[in-house]
Amino acid sequence: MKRNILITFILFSIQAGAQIPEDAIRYSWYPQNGTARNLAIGGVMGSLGGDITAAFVNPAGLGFYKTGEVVLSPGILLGKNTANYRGSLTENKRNSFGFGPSGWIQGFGNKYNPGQSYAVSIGVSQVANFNNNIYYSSLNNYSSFSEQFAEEFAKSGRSIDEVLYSNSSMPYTAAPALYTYLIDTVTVGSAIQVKAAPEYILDAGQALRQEMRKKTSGGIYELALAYAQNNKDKWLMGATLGIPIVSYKSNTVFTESDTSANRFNKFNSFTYTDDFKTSGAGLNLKLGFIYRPQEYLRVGFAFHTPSFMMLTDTHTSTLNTQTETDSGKLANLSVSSQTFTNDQPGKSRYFQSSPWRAILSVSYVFREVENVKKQRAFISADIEYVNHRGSRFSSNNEEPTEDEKVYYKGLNNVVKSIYKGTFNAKVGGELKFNTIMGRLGFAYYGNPYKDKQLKTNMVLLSGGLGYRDKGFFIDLSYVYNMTKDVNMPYRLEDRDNTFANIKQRNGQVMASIGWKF
Amino acid sequence: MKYRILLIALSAAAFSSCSSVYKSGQTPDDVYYSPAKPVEEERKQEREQVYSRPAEDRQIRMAIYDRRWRDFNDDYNCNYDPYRYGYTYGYYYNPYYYPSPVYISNIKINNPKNTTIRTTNLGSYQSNNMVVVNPKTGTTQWIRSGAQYNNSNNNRNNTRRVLVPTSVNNNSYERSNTNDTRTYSPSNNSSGSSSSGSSNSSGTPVSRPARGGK
Repeated sequence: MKRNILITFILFSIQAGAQIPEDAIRYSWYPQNGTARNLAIGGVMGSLGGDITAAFVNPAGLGFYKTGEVVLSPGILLGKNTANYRGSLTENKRNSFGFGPSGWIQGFGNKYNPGQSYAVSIGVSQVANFNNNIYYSSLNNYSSFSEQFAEEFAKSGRSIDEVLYSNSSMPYTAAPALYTYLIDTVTVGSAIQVKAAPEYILDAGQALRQEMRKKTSGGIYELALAYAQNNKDKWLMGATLGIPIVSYKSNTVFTESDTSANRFNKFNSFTYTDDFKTSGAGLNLKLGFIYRPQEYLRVGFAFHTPSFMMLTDTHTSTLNTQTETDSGKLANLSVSSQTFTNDQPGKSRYFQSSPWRAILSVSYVFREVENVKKQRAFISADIEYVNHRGSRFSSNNEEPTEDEKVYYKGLNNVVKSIYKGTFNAKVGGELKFNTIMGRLGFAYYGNPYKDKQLKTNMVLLSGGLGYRDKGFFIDLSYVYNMTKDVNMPYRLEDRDNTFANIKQRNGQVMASIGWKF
Repeated sequence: MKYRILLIALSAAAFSSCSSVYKSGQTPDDVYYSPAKPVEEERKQEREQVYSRPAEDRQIRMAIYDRRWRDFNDDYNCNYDPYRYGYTYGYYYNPYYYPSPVYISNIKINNPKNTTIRTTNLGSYQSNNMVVVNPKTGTTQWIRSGAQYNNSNNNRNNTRRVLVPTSVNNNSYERSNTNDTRTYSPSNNSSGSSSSGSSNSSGTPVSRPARGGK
C-alpha cells in the first residue's frame, strides 16, 4: 500500500522541477580530507587528536593542545578515470589544486585549575574536491538519451503548447527537445504517440553512437571554529561550528548520432550541452569526546550534525538537433533553454541538508612523554557511519507552489529509497625517530547505493614522511585512491537503464607546513 | 597559480620569522604530549578597569549615524519637534506621517526568473515496471521488467515501448490519418494559455520553427 502511494506520488510529481537525487550523494560520499600527516595515516582522527584535522573530525582532539600552532596544507590531485560503457573502455585525466586543513590552534592553561586546559582553533579546509573529468563513448542499440525527454513529456499531462512557453515547466529537457523536433507526437493508425527521433534507428535494429563528456569543478570549503576542553588528560570534549561553502560547476556534453549511411531514417545527430552551477553556504555542528581510560590508550566518539545549506542553482542548456527530412535532407535546429526561461539562466533556491555521521575510534600511543626522543609510535583506527539516505531538500522560494512541495517530498522519498547508510573504516600509524617520522594508512568507504547492482566503493592507500624540529614541522603524504563508481547518462522509467562503470585512480600529494609557538 | 605559490611562500616566511619559542630545544609533538606553558604570575597591577566615557562622547558618536542626535541639543532650533520630525520628508522618514502603512501596488514583474531546475522523472529511480504494447492488438500492459539494467548491446529480445501522451489538451495535436506521420499545429495563444492550467501564466508562447530547419 505504501509503495503504491509512493509510486502514485512520484508519477504525479514529475510535473514539477527541482533538484535531482544525485545532488544528495555529491555532498556526502567523498574521502575525508586532512593535513599531510593525517592523510598519510588513512585519515584517522576520531581519537588521536593533536592535529588541526581534529577540528573537522573530532574537535575533542584539539584538547590535547597546550601549545600554539599555525599550519598550511596545500595539495595537488592527479586524477585518472577509466570508463566502461556498454563494453567500450575510455580513459580521461584531470589534475587540480586543493588544500587540506589550514589554520591556527592555541592551547591555554587554566590558572585556577592546573589539571584543566582548553584550546581554540580557526581553520579552513577543502572538505570535498569536485574536480573531475568523465568521458565515455559507445554504441547503444537499446535506448536513447532523448527517450527521457519523450517520457517526461508523455507523462506530464501537458500539451506541446503548454511546454513551449517562455516560462516553461520543462525548460532544459522536453521544451528544447520538442522545439528542435528531437521528440514529437506521431500518429500511428489512430493513436497518438510521443516518439524521439533516434528511436527510429533503434526500431530498425540499429545502434546509436553515444558520447558523454562531463567536466566538474569546485568543492566544499569549510570554515571551522572549534573549542575543546581537557580535564586532567582523562576526559576531553570539543565542539566545532562549521560553515560549509559550496561551489559546484558542471559542464555536460552528450552527443548521439546515427551510425548508418541511411539519410531517410529521420535522425542524424544531436548534441545536448548542460551548464550547471550550485553555490551557497550552510551551518553544521561537530561534537566529540575522547576518553583516556589509561595511559597510552584513547577512545573517541564524534557526532556530526547534518549541514543545513542554502543553495542556489543556475542552469542553462542548449540542444542542437539534426534530423532528416522525408526527402533525405539534413535539417538543423538549435535552441537554448533561455528561450524557455525568459531569456535568462534559470535559477532555483532551495535548502539541502546533508546526512549526519558518527565516528567511533580507538588509538594506542606508545610513549606519551614530553621528551620527543622517547616518543616512539602510534596506531589508530576509526569506524564511521554515514547516513547517506538522510539528505533532505526543500524549497527556498518565498511562496513554493503545490507542485514544488510535492516534488520535494517525492525527491526526499527517492533519496531514502535509493541510498543507504554505510560504514567507512580507516586505520593508520606512525613510527617516530626523534625528528623524522614515517607513516602508513588505509581507508575504505562503503557503497552508498541500496541497489546491489551498482557496485561502488573507495579504497585509499597512503603513506608519508614528516620532519619536526626548531619550532617548525613539515609533512608530506601521498594517497592513492581507487574508486569504483557508476555514472548514468540518463534515466528511463519504463525501460532498463544503462550506466558506465567508472574506475578512478587518483593520486593526491599533500604538504603541510607548520610553526609552533 | 603563481599568486597561490607566492602567497604560501610569503606566509611561510612570515611565520618562520615569528616562531622563536621552540627554535632551541625540543619541538613539542601534540599528538604524543603537549607541554603546558607555565601559568603567568598574577599581575600585581591587575585591576578592574572602569570604562567611563563622558556622555558627550556618546552623543557625538550617535550623531554621526543619526541626524536626530545632532538636533537634540540644538537649543536654537525652535522648529524641532520630535513628534513631527521628518514631516517634510514623507513617510519613509517619519512613521507618524501617514496614519497607515503605505502599500505599493500595481507592480508588474515583466521578466520573472524561471525557478525550474533540472526536471527529472523521479519515477525512473524507482521503476521496476515496463509498459509493453502488443503490436497486433495495440493494447498496453505493465509488466515487471526482468533486469533493471541493460549494459550490453547483445540484446536478443529488444521489445520497443510506446509512449502514449496523457495530455489534458488533445486539441493541440492535429491528428493525421496517415501512418506514422508527425504533424503538429500550435493552437492559438488564447486557447493555449487558457486551457493549460499550468504554471505558465507569467510567460508567452514560443512558436516552433518549421520542421525543415533554419
